[in-house]
Amino acid sequence: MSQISTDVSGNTATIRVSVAIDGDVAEQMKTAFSALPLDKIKLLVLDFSAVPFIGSAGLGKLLLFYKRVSSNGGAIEVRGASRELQELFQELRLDLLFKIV
Amino acid sequence: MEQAWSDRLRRLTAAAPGIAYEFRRNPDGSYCLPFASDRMYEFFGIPIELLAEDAQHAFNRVHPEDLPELMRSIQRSERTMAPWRHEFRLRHQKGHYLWFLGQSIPTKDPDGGITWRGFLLDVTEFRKLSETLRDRDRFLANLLESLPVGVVVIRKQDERVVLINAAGAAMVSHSAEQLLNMRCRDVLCGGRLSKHCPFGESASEAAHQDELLLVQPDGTPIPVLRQFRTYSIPGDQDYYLMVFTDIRERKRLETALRDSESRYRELADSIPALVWISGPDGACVDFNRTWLEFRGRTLEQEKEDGWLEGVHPDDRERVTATYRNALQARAPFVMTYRLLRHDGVYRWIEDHGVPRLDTEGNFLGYAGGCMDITDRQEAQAYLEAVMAGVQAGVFVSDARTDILIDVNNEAARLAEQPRDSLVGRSWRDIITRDRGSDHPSAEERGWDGQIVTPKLHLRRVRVRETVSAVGGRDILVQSAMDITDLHHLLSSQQVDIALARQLLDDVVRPMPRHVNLGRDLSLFVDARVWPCAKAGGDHALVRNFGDLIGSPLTALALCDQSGHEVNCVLRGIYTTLTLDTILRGSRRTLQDRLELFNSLLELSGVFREEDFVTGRFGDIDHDTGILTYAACGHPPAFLIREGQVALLPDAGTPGNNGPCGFLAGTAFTTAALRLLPGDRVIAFTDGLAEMPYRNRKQRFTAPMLARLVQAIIDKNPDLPVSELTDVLLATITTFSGESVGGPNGDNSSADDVSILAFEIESLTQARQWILHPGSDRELAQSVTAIARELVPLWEKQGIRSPEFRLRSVLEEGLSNIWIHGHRKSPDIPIRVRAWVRNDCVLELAGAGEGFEPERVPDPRLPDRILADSGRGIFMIRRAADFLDWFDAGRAFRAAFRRPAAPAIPVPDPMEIMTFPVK
Repeated sequence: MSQISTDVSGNTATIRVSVAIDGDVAEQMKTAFSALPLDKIKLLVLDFSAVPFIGSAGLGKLLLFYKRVSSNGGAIEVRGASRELQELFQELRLDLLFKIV
Repeated sequence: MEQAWSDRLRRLTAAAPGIAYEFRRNPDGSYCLPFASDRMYEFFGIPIELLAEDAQHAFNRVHPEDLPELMRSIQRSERTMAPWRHEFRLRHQKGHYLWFLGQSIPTKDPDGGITWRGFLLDVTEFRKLSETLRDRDRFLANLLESLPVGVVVIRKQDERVVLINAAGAAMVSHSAEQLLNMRCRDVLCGGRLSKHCPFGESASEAAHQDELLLVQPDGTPIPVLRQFRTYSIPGDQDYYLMVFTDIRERKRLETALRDSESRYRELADSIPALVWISGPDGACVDFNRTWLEFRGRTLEQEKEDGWLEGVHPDDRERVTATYRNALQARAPFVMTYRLLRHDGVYRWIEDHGVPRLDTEGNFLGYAGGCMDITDRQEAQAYLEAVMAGVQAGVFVSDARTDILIDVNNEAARLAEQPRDSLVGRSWRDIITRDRGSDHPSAEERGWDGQIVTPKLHLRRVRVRETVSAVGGRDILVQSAMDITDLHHLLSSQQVDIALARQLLDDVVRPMPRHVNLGRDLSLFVDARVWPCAKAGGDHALVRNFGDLIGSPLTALALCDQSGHEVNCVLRGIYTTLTLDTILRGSRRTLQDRLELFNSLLELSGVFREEDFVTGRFGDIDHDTGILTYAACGHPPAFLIREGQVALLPDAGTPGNNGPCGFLAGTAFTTAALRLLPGDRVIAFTDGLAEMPYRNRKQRFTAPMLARLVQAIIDKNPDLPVSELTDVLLATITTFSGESVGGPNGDNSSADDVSILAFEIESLTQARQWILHPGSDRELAQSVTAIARELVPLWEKQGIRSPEFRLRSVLEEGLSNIWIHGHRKSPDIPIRVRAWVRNDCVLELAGAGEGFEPERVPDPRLPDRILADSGRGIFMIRRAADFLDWFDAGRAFRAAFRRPAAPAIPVPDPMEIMTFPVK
């Protein structure tokens, strides 16, 4: 079973990750993102309900996604993040950029 | 003629009270009634003519029970011709019987017959009366016998006993039969009547009573009450009637009562209180000797309302009213009044009256006790004057319940409420304590708080507290100084002690936690300062120097400042900066630095003449492992080596100096020793040693504390120094009844508490990995592999979120070294070491280019939020509790503080006096 999967429904795309996001997984996540029909995406959902950890490389990729999606008038929503991930997003003030659900 | 006589006789007999008759026995033996008065007919209803022929008509009316005896009495009279007399019952014509007494005199008739002439008298009522009298006699006889008193009747003429009941006989140990008809003197006076003869001098009186002793045959005297009277029966003789009552029980009760009264009197006279007794009407009937001596008057003068004359005229009406109201309610009362003493001085009296009741609950009056409370009143007045004059608000409360007992005027003014309305409430309702505001000294407790008045005015107060045992309970006295104006002044000047303390903390940071000493050794340093509420100037300073000034060196200092409050903290900042500056300058020995430090303090102008700095100082040379140390005005530190505790410096050896800041140019000495793996050292300020003083009035000396440490390590020889510090602190705080440390860093004690501990940790047992990653994936795999091994181990040590934090350090640290330091070269090794001792430590060391971590910008800055990179160092710092960079940024140690160790046996400080010093 793939550790990263994507799903597109209308103008909403979902990237579902089920592994710790280290540098290697961050690159895979970037590849998956690049494969999305980015011009049509208005909402990018990041399903992190099965992500135990994210490193700085992964965070850098999220900001990359943000810049790309927001330039098209879209938004990013992080769903299912653990308490530790949510605290990290808040400390880095990323909760100002992403909607944390 | 005969008819005339008969008529005349009939008229005469008709007026007589009975029935006149003539009864005859004929010669042939038959009976008849030749004559009967008219009453015979009225009674029987039988014509007289029939009776004249045959008396059987009359016999038929005789009661069957009485007829045989009647006939025998008639036959006796026939034989003897004696007068006939007999009582019997006859049936009235209406059917009821009446008793009759018949009397007649027989005469022989010429024809041989016998004629009786006489009367029948109706004696029915007489017999009833007689019967009643007989019943009464029997009743009286029974009554007499059953009486508990002795009754004796003596005939005056011959002095013989004519009547004596059983109780009377028993009193002289005879039976009534024996005594009857004996001469009184033989019974009562024949040596048995001890005192008076009943016919003695009292005999001339008609009636009297006296008390005698009746002496028993065995010599036992019986006290008796004799009631005596003479009486005469008309036509009869004169008699003496004596009633003897056994009064032994009464005598016993009288004796007991006399004893009781005597005891009461002795007791009442012996107690220092003024005692009085009143009767049911409220009139005083008795006063004890103390009262009478106090008043200088006699009992007769004080009785009734005489005592009221001594009550001060201004109090008299109130006293009378109080007593009268209590009397009406029959209730206890307390009243105070002035009572005139014998020397003409009025004294204040507190009078307690209690109702007296008998066993039936009947009100007998009052018993009262009075105390002279003049001294108390004067003391109270004195206290009132003092309380009124004190500039602080004084709140006096029960230390157990916090309920206010008294407050002074200033307290009422602060609270803007009447004094009476404050008393009875909890002081906690009046004064609110500032959170964490304790700033006690060794002798007293004190804190800051505020009083919010009903009008919502806010007064800031500084409260000083003392607890004293008074009258069996603990009394809390709080003096609240109004510092509202001072507070406003400080606020307007923006004097902020918390800010000053933060500045001091920031100045001393960052302090190394895990210092690389090389040779598989690591210096663990644990510097902890718990400021007390008064914010003393304790501070620790740990600095690594080496890269810039020669051989690597770690300098340690633990200082205390004289004074308290914000200036003390500000001087602490100055002290720290001075020390830091001296260290950063040209390389000097510790001795040189101390002498320079001492001179600079005096010459700075920052310190007043009376100010000084005490402390312990040490340098650890990384190359040689030599510790150079000195104590300045403070007790030594402890060295724990191979299970033994030693003092650094010991008394009388080099390294002992006076405080810094006294006199410029003063020479200082230092001592040195070579540190060995496993050495543990603990230094402390006086706040630890003196912590028990406030609650226990005891202080620890350095040798005592050394024995305490020895006791701990005797039971736990390999305890890491951080846990040893925890146990030592817990032992002392528990013993002292204080709270120091804990999750919020509280310090309830009277002074700053500071501990600087270090340990030479050996890393020979550390887990080690050498990595040569060739790709992101290989690096990621290494991270996963190391994390998989360490996470369970650290989880076991109680590290919070071990996977997330470990991965943060490993992922970011290894990436930083590999990407930036090694340029992703697989040829340059990366060393990873991990060990658990005082902390859980993860060391990552590369060999490529170094960097300056301080130069990496904070990704939280507004212009860095959207940056794609630069969060790695932040994540390492965020994950670790402590982070020490070394080798020019090529390596670091991330330390994770282990939670407080599980409870281990703590020695009893009371026993440390007896611990042998090894």
